[in-house]
Amino acid sequence: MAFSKKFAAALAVAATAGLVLSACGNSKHEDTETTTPPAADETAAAETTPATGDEAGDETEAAGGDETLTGAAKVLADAGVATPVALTIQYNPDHYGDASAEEYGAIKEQLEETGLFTVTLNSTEWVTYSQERIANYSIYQLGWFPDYPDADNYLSVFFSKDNFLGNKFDEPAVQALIDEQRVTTDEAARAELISQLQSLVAEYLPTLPLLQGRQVAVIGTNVNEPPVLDASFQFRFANIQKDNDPTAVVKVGTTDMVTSLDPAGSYDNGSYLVQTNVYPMVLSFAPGNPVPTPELAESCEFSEDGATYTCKIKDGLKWANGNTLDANDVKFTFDRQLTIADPEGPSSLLGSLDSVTVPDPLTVEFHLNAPNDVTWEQILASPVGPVVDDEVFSATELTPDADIVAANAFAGAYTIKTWKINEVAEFTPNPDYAGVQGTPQNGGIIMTYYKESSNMRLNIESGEDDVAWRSLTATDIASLESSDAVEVVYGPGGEIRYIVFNVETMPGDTPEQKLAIRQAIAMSIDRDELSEVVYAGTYSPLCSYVPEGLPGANTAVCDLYNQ
Amino acid sequence: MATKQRSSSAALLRYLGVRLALVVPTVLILVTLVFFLMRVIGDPISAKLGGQLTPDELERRREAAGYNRPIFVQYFEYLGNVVQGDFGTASKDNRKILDVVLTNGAATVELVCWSLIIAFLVGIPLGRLAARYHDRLADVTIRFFAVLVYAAPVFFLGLVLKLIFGAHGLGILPTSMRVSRTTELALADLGYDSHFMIVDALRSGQWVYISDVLKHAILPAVALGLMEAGIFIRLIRINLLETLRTDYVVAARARGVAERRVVSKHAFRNALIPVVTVMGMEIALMLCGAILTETTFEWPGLGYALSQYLLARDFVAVQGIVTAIALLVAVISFLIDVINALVDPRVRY
Amino acid sequence: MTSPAPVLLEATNLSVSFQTDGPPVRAVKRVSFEVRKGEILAIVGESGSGKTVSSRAMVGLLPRTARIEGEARIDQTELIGLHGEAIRRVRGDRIAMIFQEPSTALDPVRTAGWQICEALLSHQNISRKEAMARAVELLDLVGIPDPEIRVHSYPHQLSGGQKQRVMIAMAISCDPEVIIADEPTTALDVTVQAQILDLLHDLRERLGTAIILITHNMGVVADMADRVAVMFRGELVEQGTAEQIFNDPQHPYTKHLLGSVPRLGGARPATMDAVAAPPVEAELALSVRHLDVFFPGRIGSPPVKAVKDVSLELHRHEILALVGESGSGKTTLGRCAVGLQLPTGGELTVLGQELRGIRPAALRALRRRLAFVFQDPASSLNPRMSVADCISEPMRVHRTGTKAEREARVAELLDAVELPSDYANRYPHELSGGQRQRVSLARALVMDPELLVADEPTSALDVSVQAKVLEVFVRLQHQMGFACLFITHDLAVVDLLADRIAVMRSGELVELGSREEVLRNPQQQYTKDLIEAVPIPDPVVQKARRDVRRGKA
Repeated sequence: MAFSKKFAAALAVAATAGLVLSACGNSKHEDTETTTPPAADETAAAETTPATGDEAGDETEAAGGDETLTGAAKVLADAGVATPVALTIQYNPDHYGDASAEEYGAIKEQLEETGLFTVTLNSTEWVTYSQERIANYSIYQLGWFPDYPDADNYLSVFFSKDNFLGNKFDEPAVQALIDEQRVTTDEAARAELISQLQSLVAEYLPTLPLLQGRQVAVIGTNVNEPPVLDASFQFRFANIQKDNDPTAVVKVGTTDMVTSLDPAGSYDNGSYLVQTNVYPMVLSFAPGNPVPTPELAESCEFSEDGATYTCKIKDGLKWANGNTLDANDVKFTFDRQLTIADPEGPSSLLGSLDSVTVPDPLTVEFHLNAPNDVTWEQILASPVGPVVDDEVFSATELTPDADIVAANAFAGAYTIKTWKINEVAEFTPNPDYAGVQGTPQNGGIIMTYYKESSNMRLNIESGEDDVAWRSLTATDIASLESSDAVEVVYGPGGEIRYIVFNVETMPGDTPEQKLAIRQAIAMSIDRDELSEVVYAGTYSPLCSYVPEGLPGANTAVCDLYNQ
Repeated sequence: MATKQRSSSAALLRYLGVRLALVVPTVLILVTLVFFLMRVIGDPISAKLGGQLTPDELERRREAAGYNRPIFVQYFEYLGNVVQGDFGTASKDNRKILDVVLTNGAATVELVCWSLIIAFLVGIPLGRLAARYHDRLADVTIRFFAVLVYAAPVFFLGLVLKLIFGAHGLGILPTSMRVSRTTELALADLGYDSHFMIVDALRSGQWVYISDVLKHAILPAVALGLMEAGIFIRLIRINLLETLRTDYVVAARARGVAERRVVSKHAFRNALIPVVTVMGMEIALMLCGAILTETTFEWPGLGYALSQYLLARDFVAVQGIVTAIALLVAVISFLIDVINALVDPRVRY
Repeated sequence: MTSPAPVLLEATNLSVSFQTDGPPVRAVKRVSFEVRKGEILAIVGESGSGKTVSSRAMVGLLPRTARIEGEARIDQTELIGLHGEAIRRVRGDRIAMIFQEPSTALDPVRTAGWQICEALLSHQNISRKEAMARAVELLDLVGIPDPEIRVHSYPHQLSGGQKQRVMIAMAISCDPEVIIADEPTTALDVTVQAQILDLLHDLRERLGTAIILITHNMGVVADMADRVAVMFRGELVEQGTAEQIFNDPQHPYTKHLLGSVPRLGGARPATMDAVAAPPVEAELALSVRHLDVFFPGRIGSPPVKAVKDVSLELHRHEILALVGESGSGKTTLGRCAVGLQLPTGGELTVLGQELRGIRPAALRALRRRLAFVFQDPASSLNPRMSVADCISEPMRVHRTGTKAEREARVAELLDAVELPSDYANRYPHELSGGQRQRVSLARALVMDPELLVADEPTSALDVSVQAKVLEVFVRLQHQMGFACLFITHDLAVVDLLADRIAVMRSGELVELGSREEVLRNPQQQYTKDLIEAVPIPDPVVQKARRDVRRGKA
């Protein structure tokens, strides 16, 4: 492979190891600028067997005159890796925001500052990027927004055998823990398993977590009730209020574009935002509570064998158009997701669903592939969960937005009055709504879709809009923070940014050397700098795999490599 | 001979008939070109989902959508659909392409019209002034201005305008969208949906709405119009200088026609003839070229839509929009021919 | 004659100079002349003599760079120094103008009536409707048929003669005291010229308008003028009655000018009559049989038949003149002869080669033996090539001769066309019109052509220059013996050099015969009209001819 050639070349040049800085130089200490204290040696990597460190030691001696190797340099030396290691890191310039180039520029700088790495950055347009990454990239950028806000969604998808990363990571011990937490219904026990799982993964480092997003909304000073930004990561209209007036119409701006009103044909922030506000779900999130709560359902429970999840649907529910809303709509919703299986849609989330049955109009039974799947409740409250009207939607293909709006096929907190896709949408409170989002505290929402976030910024400042939701640039948010006309509100974000290693094709002659290189990289990264300098605090450091705020989150990665 | 006069207007009709007849093959050729060029890249499904789906799944979808049939069968089917106004559906946001073409096309046409008004208001008087004060200070200043506005990138001009008039500056003019949301929704409520904001606003008869539409149009129209004005200034100046040197201008002076009238009725009228032709091409260019203005000012136009669909590799949409633009360009060039025939009697032979 | 009419327009010591980047150019130097009521004053001179500038100076139609000194008065009004509204009132109302090129002097996008009305409304306080009625009357007066329809015609819908009539109608619309007619018939065919001159004559008699007739054509002067002023290099060198000037010219320039004018029916100058190689009857340079050339019309209109069923022959060493008015197809026929235009039907044999269906390679080989001289040397010579390059270009194109041979050939030809050898390094814009045309001729002859087609080679030149070029041309033809198809509208030139004459009209061959037969004893009415229309540069003869014509009318 092209990569091993490069690596051979790097070996040939064989490490003019340069000035060796300890990995601690990049840790969270106040004294980042100062030279390394020799005591900063107690890392997991340091405990690994000192192997063929001699020649690397000679190199550094010549360069720095320091006899004791520390941190990243020691890890590499112990594994017999010649430095500097040539790394090629791939990233995409816009799919994960416009600052990616800056972020990876900073990473390159941090890595090269150690003298242990030479970094080549490659940026590729998204379509090619997503097609190439598995086959051809060995170290590359990815981002993740959870399908549902649960630790499992940050673990099983990444670290199972044949995960979607395709990075050849396969550790039976990790797999066993993943499988176990999934069926552990006891919350505390499960949290402990998740924490263990993260610590174990941190030792192998198949991916390197970098940053966790924050939800940011900018509101005008006349907005007395800001949107609730919680770990459900949903943007709900109902509680927003301005001028203390429950009849005032609130104007919201966003750059998150909509693909479709049909939940079977869209799986993105923009579409999901609208869908959470206009469709009901079997389970949903009440503001401030990250645990799914029954909405259409009166109650739900696992059967004794754990293979069936049964929900009782509330009686007398109606769609805004007058159609009956019952268990048949629920079955219809999930059946059509599986039938249509649109590549743009979320049907892949239903992997654990075998079938849906409706013993009576007020009861729906989900037959699951695995017993006691704790993620099922989350999935019901995820983008695959919005329930649609079986008398309006097509069972076999996507239903056009115009038809949905014309038929008024809504039963969420709001109905849509005017729908000009990705330009403007007008939402009116649904008087019949009695779900978990609560009674709307405003007279309606006007949603404006901006192509340019700079224009959204101008309009929140001028007062044309009352709320600016995703995504303003970090610079804009930083400067809006100091504006008197607006206020910035934050909430925990579900988005994470990380680096993927293909554990087979990445640099290094042996699996041990590859691991050493991963660990050395981990030691050389300064997340605080990325968070503050590149993202002005709109992302916070992510020290493990499950983001802060979710049960089972810990700081395993930082603990191991950045102390 | 009364027949002579009648044959003159008959000649005009025949001329326009021939031009109109030429539109059909032009459009047909363009549509065909677009279709086959897009297919060189691959069918829309492979183009969009290739690499994301397994080959089997891809093949299944291709088959379902009919892309595995002979290309000519698909071509004639496409032609048939286009004739019926069916351009297909965008996979990016599931919009009907016809709807995109109508709404975004209307936005672009409206923007182009506004900017043409600016271009005329600025370009014609300045071009005339420059020609009148040929090689003197006024001329040099105006020429410099023309080069400046023509050379300044539209988005840069747009940003400067936004800075001056937007929320960070004087705060007196809106800096994005065709109209404010309240007006847009109010007009939609009133049931006006011609896609042309100013038309809808005028139909409502309410000054608030009309002024809102006009205010929104000012900055984009100026940004785009000034660039056009730069072209018009130079065109009008050079052509006016040319016609001012002609024998018929000297002849008009010699028969005692006042200078002002000589310039406006003889020199200027004749100078307009080449300007009209270039203007036609400019308008055609602006249809797609307005994209920078559209992006800067959130103007939901055709160029912007096209670029978005291109980025999303939505080739059904791209094909539809390009076809629509081709149609528009053909229609515009026909209109230019009509104007030309009206301005220049020699054209209607 | 009765006592002289009062002086209407009088120029005294009129001087005009133009500011340039260099020193000012003096175009008119202290010129004085006068014109009386009902009189026709001809100002004669060659291009650049200042005749147009001095007339335009009086009505303030010169560009800003012009400086005018001296006086010009109409009645008691001083004209020099008037500007704005004051001079506007004079223009068109008291002094009207007629221009050389009616097709450019009329605004192409306005109807005839519109433009006449404009002149009327500029000076008279009448309604548009009245103005329109008057325009119709005026068109009728200048002899345009169906004036009430023609008044709505655009210039491109009118013929050249009709356009000039519209110009005249405009000029007389406000009953001016003086009409300045600047080369009013130069751009017109002879038969049309005769009609326009008759019209002007007629108007002078009916309206008593004074006319300043600016022209280079001595025939026109003889035909029209009461008095003649001769200008040369900005100066007025001689002035007098027409009889005086023609019969007893004083100034050497006037004599030279009159000597250069080719006369139809006049004796050939000795230089032209040098013994030529007699035409070889047996050998044909060009044979045309039932030739048709059609051009496709615009969509929906029938094809334009430029040449219809023409048959003629050109022998080796012979000059065949192709005569006809504009649109007669003579140029198209000439282009066919050198393979620049393919015929639609009939046979066309050039130097023994049938041109229809000829292979490109054969055509290329044939072209080396053919040559073509264009009307306008200014546009047919590449301005970026030196004279030597221009002349030797055909050699380079056909890849003949070494560099030295080419240089020798250029020198030889420059000598042949009587240009100094150091002209080889000059560029076309450094030469005068006549010199340029001689360069064109040299270029045409560089390959020793066997057949030369010359398309109006002297029409763009002044008479004195034309005489020189023609002289050179005839001498070379005699020396080199090429067959020549000489295309022209000027019968006087034809009389100078042609062996035989073919008269064409509307694409058809009207008459074909020897020079003597066609010019002295024409068989066809059209040929007769043509000859009749050519003004003879002799006032007495012209007056007699005019009287005859009038008598007929």
